[in-house]
Amino acid sequence: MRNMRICIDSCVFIQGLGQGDPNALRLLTLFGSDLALVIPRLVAQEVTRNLVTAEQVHLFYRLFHESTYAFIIDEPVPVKLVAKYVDLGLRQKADAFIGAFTEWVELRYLISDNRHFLRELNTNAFTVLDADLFLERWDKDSL
Amino acid sequence: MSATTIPVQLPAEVYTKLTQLAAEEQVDPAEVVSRLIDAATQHRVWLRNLSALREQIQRDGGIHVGDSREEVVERMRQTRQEIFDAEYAHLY
Repeated sequence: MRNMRICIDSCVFIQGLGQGDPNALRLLTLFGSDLALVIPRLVAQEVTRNLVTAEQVHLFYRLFHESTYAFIIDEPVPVKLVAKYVDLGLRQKADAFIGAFTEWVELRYLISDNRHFLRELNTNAFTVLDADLFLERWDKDSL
Repeated sequence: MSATTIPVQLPAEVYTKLTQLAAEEQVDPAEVVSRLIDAATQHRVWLRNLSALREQIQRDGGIHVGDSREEVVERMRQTRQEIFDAEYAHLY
């Protein structure tokens, strides 16, 4: 199914931008009218913290400024929802924040290689996939 | 003031699909074409900006956060924790 909104974790961003991971990069090329990207400010901060020049940071934010399909959400996630995701298996509040964000803005997928999301999170609100599996399902139109 | 129009020839199959889409959305076929062009243009802008960022990163020597996926994940979790502790923890 197309026309969906997803969140991608900073580790996937970094692998697509600088590590030469072909699937992470391909995922980054998909965003458009069929697939919208929504990330919390925290993820944007994590990516930019690991960029090394002001020009890189400028170009990162330009991706979002010039797109109508990619969004950075600045508003804090509700406290109760973060606590819920701690209870659901994300013991570190920083990880729970990302899980809570994904439910809060009603995204269908969180794309991450973080094993804490992939193995320890137990939720029906959204699905956690790594980039490889997401692309496999995307290509089969089976998401 | 009406816009200048230009006749266009389409394969019958394409025209049929176009008019079906237009009927479903209750708009003029030209509006469907316009939306598709807008979407394609937006996607090109995204790809152009993504390439510019990747090329800049390459020119600057890459991103040094680890050699394997596992190392990248761990490094990014450390970054997440540092930022969360500094800027978000007081809210939660």
